[in-house]
Amino acid sequence: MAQRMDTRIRPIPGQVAVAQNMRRKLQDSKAIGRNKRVQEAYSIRCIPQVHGAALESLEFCERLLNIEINSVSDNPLIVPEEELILSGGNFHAQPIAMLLDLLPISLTPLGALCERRLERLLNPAFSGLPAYLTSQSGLNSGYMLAQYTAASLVSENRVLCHPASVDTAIVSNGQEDHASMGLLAGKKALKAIENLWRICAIEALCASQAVDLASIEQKLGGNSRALYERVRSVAPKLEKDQVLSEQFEALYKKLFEHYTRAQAL
Amino acid sequence: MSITALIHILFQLPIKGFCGANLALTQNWKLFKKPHTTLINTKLNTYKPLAISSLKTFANHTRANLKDTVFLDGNSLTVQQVYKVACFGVKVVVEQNALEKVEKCHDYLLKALKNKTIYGVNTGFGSLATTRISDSDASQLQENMIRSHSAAVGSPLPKEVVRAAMLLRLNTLAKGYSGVRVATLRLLEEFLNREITPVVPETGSLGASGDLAQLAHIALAMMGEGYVYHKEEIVPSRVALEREALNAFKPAPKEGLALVNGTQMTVATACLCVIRAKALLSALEDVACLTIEALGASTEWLNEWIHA
Repeated sequence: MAQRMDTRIRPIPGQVAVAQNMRRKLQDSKAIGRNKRVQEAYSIRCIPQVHGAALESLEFCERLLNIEINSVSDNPLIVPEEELILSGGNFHAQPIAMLLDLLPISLTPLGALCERRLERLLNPAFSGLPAYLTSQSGLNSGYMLAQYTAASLVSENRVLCHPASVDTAIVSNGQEDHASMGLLAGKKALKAIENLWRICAIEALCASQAVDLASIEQKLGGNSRALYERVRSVAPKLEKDQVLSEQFEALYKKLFEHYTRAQAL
Repeated sequence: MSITALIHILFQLPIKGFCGANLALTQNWKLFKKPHTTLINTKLNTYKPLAISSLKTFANHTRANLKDTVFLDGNSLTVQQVYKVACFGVKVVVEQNALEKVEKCHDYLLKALKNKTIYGVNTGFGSLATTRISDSDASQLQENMIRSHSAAVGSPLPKEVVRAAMLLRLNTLAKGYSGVRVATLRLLEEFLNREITPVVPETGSLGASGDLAQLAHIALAMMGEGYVYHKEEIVPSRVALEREALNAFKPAPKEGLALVNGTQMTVATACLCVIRAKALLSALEDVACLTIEALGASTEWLNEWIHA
């Protein structure tokens, strides 16, 4: 262990944490390593690096926010201790506008990874399973459109990555001659994150269908099994073509509820 | 329910029922927990008592309070607490020591006002700062400002964003550098705890001087103008105030500016984003693991040597 610490291959904390989490989540799986590939695609192999980068950004954002939410953004400031009344500019949201621009930029690549893994689930060349995860491909299109929806969401997120905080406006007869566009950045970030939850739900649904078609439910590790069961509690296995929109939305709500509750409470 | 919780409820019932003072439930709870704390200064409580429509509502209110109230002092709020209050209806209470600071600051402002020119207090706003406003117009100035700055357009912002913004403004006012009255903090606290959420259109902020228009819509609702969600229903603000037996806000000097000048709507979105993004990372890890297992992928790339 001491030797490992010395070699320090790439000790970026976010990456290390994600790899650690995933090792733990997969430790009791009997389903891994069946495909005998020499190397996995980047959408799998580089998860710790890409998720880790997002985690680093999030920690930066949270640290800054915890300062900002306990700050005074008023003007003028009334300081009774010194009998001072001071005009300043703490209402300027630049630090927050910039972190809000950073959020979609940090998270959009995660959605792109999901979309690429979807390809690997839906394409028989990679999965060894029926095309689009349906038993009668041709008559049925199965989850063909899952990828379209996910790709559309990823594309929308790329557009939402356009920074707002570099824009400005000059108002009030030139007295207020710089602005942060923070709320615009905030609305974009909220929308991008909502899109990512939908992408996340679509991958979860297709992965669960692949688990069923590969008949490996019994081999899943405990963590994946819990997720699989959560998916199946709102969306049963797809036997023949049906409207997908409602399944996607129901699962999005279910997963969003479950994970945000766990995060906040 | 624990015995302590039961005692708390019994302790609160007579106060709510007979005293008529608008002591927030959790303040009572805090007094009960810390018997040596100085009694709450009743002059700080200027609003009418909570109208309890049913015992059931009251019991829910009480239970929520006992379980996880967020106490605000301007210095110790966390992003996670913002999410709890904004999205899960957790109650808030401003700490007594913070209220005392707020009151001192307000008193100093009133004193200073007599012999100083103070931006936005006895002058106009923005480039109109060169116009001196007479003392007799000081309140009217703030009222005019709240109305004229309520200029946002578009769809309403999500309720949880507006709740987060109210909480954040309450916390910044609790630091005691804004010169507002304690009663003004109390009304914001009541808006949060009674689920009165102003309808705030989403577009019109430049992010400096903060989110002027959006925050003005919140102050407008406090004045009993504009619209609010009262729990789930959209009603004129005046109606929600009447239903909850709350007095409409009538701004004192500086109070319009103190409610409107700030980054809180932007920061509100950022707080919600960070918690949702953290939850998302955890969900995406789980989902990726499920895909990895479904595909029977190898996990050599997770080896500890690579990530250390």
